[in-house]
Amino acid sequence: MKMKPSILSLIIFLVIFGTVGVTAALDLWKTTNTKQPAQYQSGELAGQNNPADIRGSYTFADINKAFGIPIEDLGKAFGVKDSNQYAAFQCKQLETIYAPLAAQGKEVGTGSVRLFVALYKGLPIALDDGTYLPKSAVEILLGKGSLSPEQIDFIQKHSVETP
Amino acid sequence: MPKTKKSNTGYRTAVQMFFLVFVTLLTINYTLEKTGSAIPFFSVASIHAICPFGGVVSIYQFITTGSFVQKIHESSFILMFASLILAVGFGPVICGWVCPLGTFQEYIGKLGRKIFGSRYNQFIPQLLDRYLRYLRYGVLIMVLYITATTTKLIFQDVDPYYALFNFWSEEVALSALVVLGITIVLSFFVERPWCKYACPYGAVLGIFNLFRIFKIRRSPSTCINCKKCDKSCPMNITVSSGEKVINHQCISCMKCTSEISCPVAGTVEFSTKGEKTA
Repeated sequence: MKMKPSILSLIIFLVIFGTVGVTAALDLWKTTNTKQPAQYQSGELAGQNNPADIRGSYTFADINKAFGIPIEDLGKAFGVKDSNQYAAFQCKQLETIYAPLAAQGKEVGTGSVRLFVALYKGLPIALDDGTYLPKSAVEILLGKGSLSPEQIDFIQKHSVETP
Repeated sequence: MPKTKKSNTGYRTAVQMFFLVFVTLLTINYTLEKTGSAIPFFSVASIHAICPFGGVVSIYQFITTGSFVQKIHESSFILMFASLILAVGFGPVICGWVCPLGTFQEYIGKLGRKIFGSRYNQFIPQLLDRYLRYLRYGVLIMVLYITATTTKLIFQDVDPYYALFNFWSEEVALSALVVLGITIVLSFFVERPWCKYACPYGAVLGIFNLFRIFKIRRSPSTCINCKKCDKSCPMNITVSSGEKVINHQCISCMKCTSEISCPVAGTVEFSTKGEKTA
């Protein structure tokens, strides 16, 4: 069978937009996040929301809804100055606030929120050397008194001042 | 540059232009949506949501945790499968017909061709070029490894495609703008430099050239050895050297075929195995 450019053009449109159409009809086509993090799939935590899936677009209100952490704790932990903005504050905005530290290899961003949420809730998380927490977040976590010695050591060594 | 049959070239141009305009409008709309003034009835998806490569870099995380890499959504996965269906049948048509960055490079290349004439796309020594063509597999492995270990869309920081369509955004890293700049400059000398040497998604789709159903097939019995097929190939493939093209760099643009460049009807065809060329 020979393929002509005109037919190939049609096939390209049909495959791409046909796939989009069919998956949209089946409610599978999603171009935005549902603000519902993935859940642990096995073990004793199966069915619980996994902080590792927190995205930059999540607001502190989304995190409050998914993990039950008070919005005020999140706002204070990450040094958001205007308390009226706590709920609508998106994790990715941290990168702007803490941009001066990024140049030193100290990242405070969505990864920091994941770390904070996991430690706050006592959920497992890999301790990434490049991820830092503001001192205010470290104080809140230490105040909860439920961290392992390794976690305490990590967050104390990975704390930064809020700019 | 050999003369082409314009009516057949027009189909590909139309498809390329459609997707270039579509993606441009989409990214503009995504920005407008943040200010509450989006174009009505038009998608407000981010460029990541419609990039099939996002699906590829998310495979590991999806298998291990059931989630996607940051900024990637179900739509990327779905488009990845649509692209794979096309690749199994026709090779990397996504590269040759759809990818707006490919189109962008091609149109800069037209200026380069006007400036340098027949020297255009022939600047890099063949031996060096042959090895450089495998660089994109290294980029692919690196991107997949780093994404799997960091769970971040790390490629965004060097992605000229993202930079091209979001250059006004604060989210575009300087490194991505630099890569875009280099790609633009190189496009004046080499056709589709990013596709040839660095594109990790092109590397994925290029593998399908080895077993795709429709292939570029040449009939030696009717070939007049004019080499127009070779000269027309944007990826510098020597089409005239064999009976079929099995080359990981082919982008299925059909420029070499009797539908477009080859002057002898039925001599170079994009066809299945059973089809006899003239």
